[in-house]
Amino acid sequence: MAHSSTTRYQLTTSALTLVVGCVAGIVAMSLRERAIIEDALGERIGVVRNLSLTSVNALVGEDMGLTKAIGLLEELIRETKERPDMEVEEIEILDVRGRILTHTDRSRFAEIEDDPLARRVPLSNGVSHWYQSGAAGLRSNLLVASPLRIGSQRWGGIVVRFGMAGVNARLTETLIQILSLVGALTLVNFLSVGWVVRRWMNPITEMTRQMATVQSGNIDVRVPADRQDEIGVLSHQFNLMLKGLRRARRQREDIARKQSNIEKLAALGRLSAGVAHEINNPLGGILTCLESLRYAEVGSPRHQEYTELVRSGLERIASTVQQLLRFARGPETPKRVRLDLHQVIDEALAFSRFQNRQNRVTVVRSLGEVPNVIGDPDLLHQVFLNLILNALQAMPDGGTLEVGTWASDGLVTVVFEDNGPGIPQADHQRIFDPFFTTKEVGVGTGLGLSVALGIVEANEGTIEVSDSHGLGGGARFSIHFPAARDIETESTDQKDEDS
Amino acid sequence: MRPGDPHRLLILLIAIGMSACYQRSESRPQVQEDARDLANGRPTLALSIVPEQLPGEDILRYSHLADRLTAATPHRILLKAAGTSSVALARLRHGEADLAILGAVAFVRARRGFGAVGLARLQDRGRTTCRAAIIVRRDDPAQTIEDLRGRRLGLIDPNSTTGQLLILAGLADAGLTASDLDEIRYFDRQEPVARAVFLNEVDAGAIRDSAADRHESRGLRVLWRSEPLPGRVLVARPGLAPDVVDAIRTAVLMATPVSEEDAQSAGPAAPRFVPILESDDAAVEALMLRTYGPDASRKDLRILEAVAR
Repeated sequence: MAHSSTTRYQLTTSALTLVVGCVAGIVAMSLRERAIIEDALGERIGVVRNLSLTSVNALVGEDMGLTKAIGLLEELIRETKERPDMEVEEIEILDVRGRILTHTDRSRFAEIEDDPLARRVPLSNGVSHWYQSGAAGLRSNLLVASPLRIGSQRWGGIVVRFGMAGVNARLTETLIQILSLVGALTLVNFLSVGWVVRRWMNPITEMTRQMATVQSGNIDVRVPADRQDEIGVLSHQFNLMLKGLRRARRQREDIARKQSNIEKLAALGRLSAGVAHEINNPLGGILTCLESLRYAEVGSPRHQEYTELVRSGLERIASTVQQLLRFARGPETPKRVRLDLHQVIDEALAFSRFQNRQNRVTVVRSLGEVPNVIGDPDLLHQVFLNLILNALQAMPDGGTLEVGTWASDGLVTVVFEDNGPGIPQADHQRIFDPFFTTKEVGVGTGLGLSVALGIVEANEGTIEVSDSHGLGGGARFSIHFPAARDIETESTDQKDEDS
Repeated sequence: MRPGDPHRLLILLIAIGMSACYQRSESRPQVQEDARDLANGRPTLALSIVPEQLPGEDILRYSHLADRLTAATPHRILLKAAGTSSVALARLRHGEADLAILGAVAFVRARRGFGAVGLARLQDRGRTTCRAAIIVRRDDPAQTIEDLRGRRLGLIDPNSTTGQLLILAGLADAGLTASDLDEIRYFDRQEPVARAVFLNEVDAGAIRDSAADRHESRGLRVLWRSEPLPGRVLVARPGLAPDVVDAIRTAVLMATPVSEEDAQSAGPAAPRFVPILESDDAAVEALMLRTYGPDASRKDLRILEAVAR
């Protein structure tokens, strides 16, 4: 776009320069033409005046019986015609009735001049001149004439035809010079305007490129704003706008993080019975073992067996607490690592195991062969756990939760499908909206699926809801992730950087 | 700038260019109103004049007279310069000229010889008389006209008043005749006479006294001046229609020029005319008789006509 604007500007200014140059050229050519022609005309009029004066003297001399005029006039026109600088082509001297007294072409003696303009010359007032045009509108001949007179006394007239080849050559030379100048000016204008405009357009071009980057989602850019003109101001404003966008993005991330935390706390609440059960069971075993240890001999096999049971129970409690802490704390910053979705799914199922049993929900694992995906395992764990808990909550009197995975067309799909009451079709469009819930007041936060949507999209995935296909009724949540490629993993990047 | 302004500017520039292109200068010959009669075949009368100095100047001076006469008659007056008084006289006699401005001597001979008609006397530069002068080189030993005895003298046409009659009369008054001179040489006009004196081709020369003063700054000096004698006369050839003669006489005697413009362009040197007095002709004839002898008005005419041919 910027390039075409530059070219358009170049062409426009060049065309304008060409037009103005042509007009100026026409004016200059006309002035120069006039100067050249007037110069030539002045010289030729001078020649004719001298001829006229000399001719009158000769004719008067003949009247006075002093000279033979015709002989003198013939010698006079012969000498004048031989002047190379004047391009004299023809000279004739007429009497007052237009009869040729003498002519450079002697055969025309005593003829009546057939050119009506020339015939007028003996009766005219002073020096006159006119042109005869030749091919291409060029003046081929200049005729300068003068009556032979003193006061009102007239002896005739003299008409001299001059060639214009020299004058036309000078005019052509001038025309070529002017055209060359106009052409050179236009070319210089085209090049210089192009150079200047490109310099002006560079910041705008850079800004356009950065805008395209922003449009693709990357707002961590900045354009140079060191100019002191309007473009500098625009660049500065653009940078301010990007700064505002980055601030808004941070705020949105903060809100999302807070929503996520709220949802986590809600999930923890829902998991609390199961967690207590996971801790309480080993504690009961530990207490029984400790009681038995009081009666066991130290170092005896029974003592070692109970000690091992206590250690195992404590490790199980520690593992439960550690999982709980990890879930509650979550990642400081989202990670992008290559991960095995099946492992994340199994951890989420394990987290909800107590609720499964309590709700008499049968979990059916239909996990196929899928490639790894790129994402944050903790966040995806939260998503899966949320969907599992939602399904369990929807089936308080028991049911079936089917978890399936498969890969197709570069995508890895995870499906959670239950046979609960399902989600009304009308709510499918709103189910991922924040604070939208179909549960009773106080039961849910209304943020669970909204947070899940945010996490999935942050991991470049999509999530959709539909009615259950195979279980009859119920809801079905399908999540699609792009399959990982080697170059996309953070670990790979890290290795590359380390190396 | 309003949206239409660039277009107006462009149109203005193109208009300037186009107007510059179309300014072609030509001045084609136009027939002058006063020259149309030449083309239309108006009858002409030839007026013969004898230029004194540069022929062009005299022709210009007399062209105003010709215009005035052209306006007063059905004829167009054409000036015809003659090299000498004898040529002018011969043209008038043979009908090659209808009118002529002749000196006093030539007029007397024309009137007596072939019946030419005097119309008016020329008042040249305020004077109706003329005087002759003899010039010598500034270093010439001659101090008086008597000192020219045995010297070479340059004269003008034998029919000239100032170029011959007055000089010969002056020599006679000083007791000299042509035979007392070493040589008499004749020249066409006054300028060649002065040149011959300057170049020592002759020792002294006869010219009109008004021209003699101009030569004093050129290494010549005036040796002698004559008494004044009536000057030139406008003469008509015999046989010219009386109404034309009357019209011309009337026209030349009217002091008022044809137009104000004509008067200005003619200047103070433009010729004026006064009536011819018989006493003037009598004085001229008396001097001719005294100088040339009886039949003086005729005898030289024949000789000088031969010279003119």
